[in-house]
Amino acid sequence: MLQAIRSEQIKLTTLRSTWWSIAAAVSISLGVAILIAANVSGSHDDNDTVDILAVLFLAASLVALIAVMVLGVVVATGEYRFGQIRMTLAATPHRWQVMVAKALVTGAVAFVVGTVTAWLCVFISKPLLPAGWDLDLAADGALRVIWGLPLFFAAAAVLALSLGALLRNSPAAITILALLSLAVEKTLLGFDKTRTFAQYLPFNAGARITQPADSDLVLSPWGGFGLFCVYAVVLFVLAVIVVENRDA
Amino acid sequence: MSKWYGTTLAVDGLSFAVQPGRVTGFLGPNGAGKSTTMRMMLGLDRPAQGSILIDGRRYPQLPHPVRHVGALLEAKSFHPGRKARHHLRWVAASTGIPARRVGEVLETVGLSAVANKRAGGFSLGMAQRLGLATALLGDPPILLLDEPVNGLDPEGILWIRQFMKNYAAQGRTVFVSSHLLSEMAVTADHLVIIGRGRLIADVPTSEFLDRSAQTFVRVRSPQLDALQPLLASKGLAAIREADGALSVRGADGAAIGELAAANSIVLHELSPQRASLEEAFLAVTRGAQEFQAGAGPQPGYAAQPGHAPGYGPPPGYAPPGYAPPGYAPPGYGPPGYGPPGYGAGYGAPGSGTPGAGTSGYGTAGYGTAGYGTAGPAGQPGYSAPPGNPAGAGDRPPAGQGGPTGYPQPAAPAPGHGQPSQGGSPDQPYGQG
Repeated sequence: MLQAIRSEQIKLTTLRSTWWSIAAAVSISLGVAILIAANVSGSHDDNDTVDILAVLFLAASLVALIAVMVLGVVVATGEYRFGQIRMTLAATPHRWQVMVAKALVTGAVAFVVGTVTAWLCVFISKPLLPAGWDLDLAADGALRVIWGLPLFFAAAAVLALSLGALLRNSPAAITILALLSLAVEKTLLGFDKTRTFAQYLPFNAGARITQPADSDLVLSPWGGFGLFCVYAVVLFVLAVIVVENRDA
Repeated sequence: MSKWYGTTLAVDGLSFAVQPGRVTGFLGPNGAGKSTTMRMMLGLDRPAQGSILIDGRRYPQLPHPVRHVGALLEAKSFHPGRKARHHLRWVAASTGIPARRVGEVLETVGLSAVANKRAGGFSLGMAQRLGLATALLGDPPILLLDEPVNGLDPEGILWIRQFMKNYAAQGRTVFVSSHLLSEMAVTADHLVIIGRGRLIADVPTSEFLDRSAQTFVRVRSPQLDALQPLLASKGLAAIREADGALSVRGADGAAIGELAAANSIVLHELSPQRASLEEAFLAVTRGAQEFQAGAGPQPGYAAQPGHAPGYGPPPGYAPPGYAPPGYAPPGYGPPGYGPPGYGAGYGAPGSGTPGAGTSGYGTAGYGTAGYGTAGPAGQPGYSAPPGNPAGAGDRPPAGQGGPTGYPQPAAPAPGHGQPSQGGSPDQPYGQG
């Protein structure tokens, strides 16, 4: 198992596409956070640390998330696309070990990327905020939002990896994930009739952990994230079962 | 062991054993189930029935499979964006092989200079070498190689041939698949031949070659009408070819020459002929081919992708319509196997002249272009019957090793009167 993890780690770090995905995720998040911080205006009433963080993390939790999920998808589909899966499974015939190793490595990388993104956003944005605005990390829920971003990234990477392993096709998996997270779920959230239902959809639920707690939403931040993890784990188990039983 | 893909039975009750200390060739036409069988050996595909035991265990139960069985399944089964060295590093890490082995195997296969190049830029030959390096990482006692000579240059072919022999000489097991009998004849000590997923032969190579090789004497004479009854009276089977020559089996040239001299018959040609390895292979696998000619050669066959002139199907493989004409010259084959279909397929009407055979491919005959050895086919005055030069054309003009790749004397069999297409009675391994 440790060997499978080490192997997956080498695989991930020796591809340029990995570093491009990570660079994209961090730079998009940071760029948008800086733009927001430098341009916000508003009354004193808006000066709530969690609210500010939620706004700063907007791009991170939407767009950078896509880059992280692309990374997760490619970890699985890259194997199938080039026939490398045969070598992988010949080297590690217990296929669940391959899948668990991939999930651990990809999830860990996504977590690190999320951590770096979150803290860079906080520290670089802080001096750019207008006078009277403050980021108080001791504020209630502030650390939950900051650490929520890497957790969200990690779970999303595992979900993306699982979908990639199921579909074995990068464009299909990435399109589904991007459309779902950016378009479908957000649109459904916009209609009164589907608003409640939409909150239980994976990415709306998962993003709760980067949002303020005191809103009129059905799910609490941790409740939403927990639901997202359930989605990810179910898809992952499904992927393991399929990979175990499929001819490579 | 059996394996279905949907409704296609890819491997059908196949059973054989591979012994250490020798190179075992795994031979069969395209689509015979070779790759499927090798994937099942590695636990990648699951057999519908049966199992494969490696030293008494199934592959997934081996403690460190890559250190036990090294496999080259298909070239380019690596991520093109990864450097060769990194590809080997992850394979090594996945089974606890020390990283220094990476440099060693790169050295062994001659890829040290490109170790830090991305594998996507590799030629097929380099990709094969990287695949072989991957197989060698664990220094395994068993080596499984699926078509390792594909894409290699003549030097590479010689190298890998020698490599496999040395590997087996160390008491290890080498199991190598190929659709080229000519390649296996000089590489393998033992042959496992399959067709349509079924076992056809499991014999030592030398025995297979001896039993498959057919020799006969080609005779041309203005007095054949007088000669033929004489031969018949001696109990020799003689068959008149389309070009007027006579193919005689059961006697050597000296006996025929003396017979002719004793009866004052003038001979214009008296040449010993030997059936090529390809023909021996065809005879054995006929009836067990995935893409069989069926009732006759299919018109328009030559237009199929991958079979265009100048490329041609791989040697040793019988494309529809090829085998029958080669074996049944006009007048001897059953209806439907004759020259018309052949002409349709290869664009060379079977007129019985050398030109007929060469026009489709623009290369000289079997014995010269494909093999580069002085086979009887290259003799002046030899007039190829239809079908055989098509065999020559079968051979890709370049890239398959050229003169050095095929040292066997390979002469065409100018339709030496195989009585039927369904496997001749005197073929030891014919499938009914």
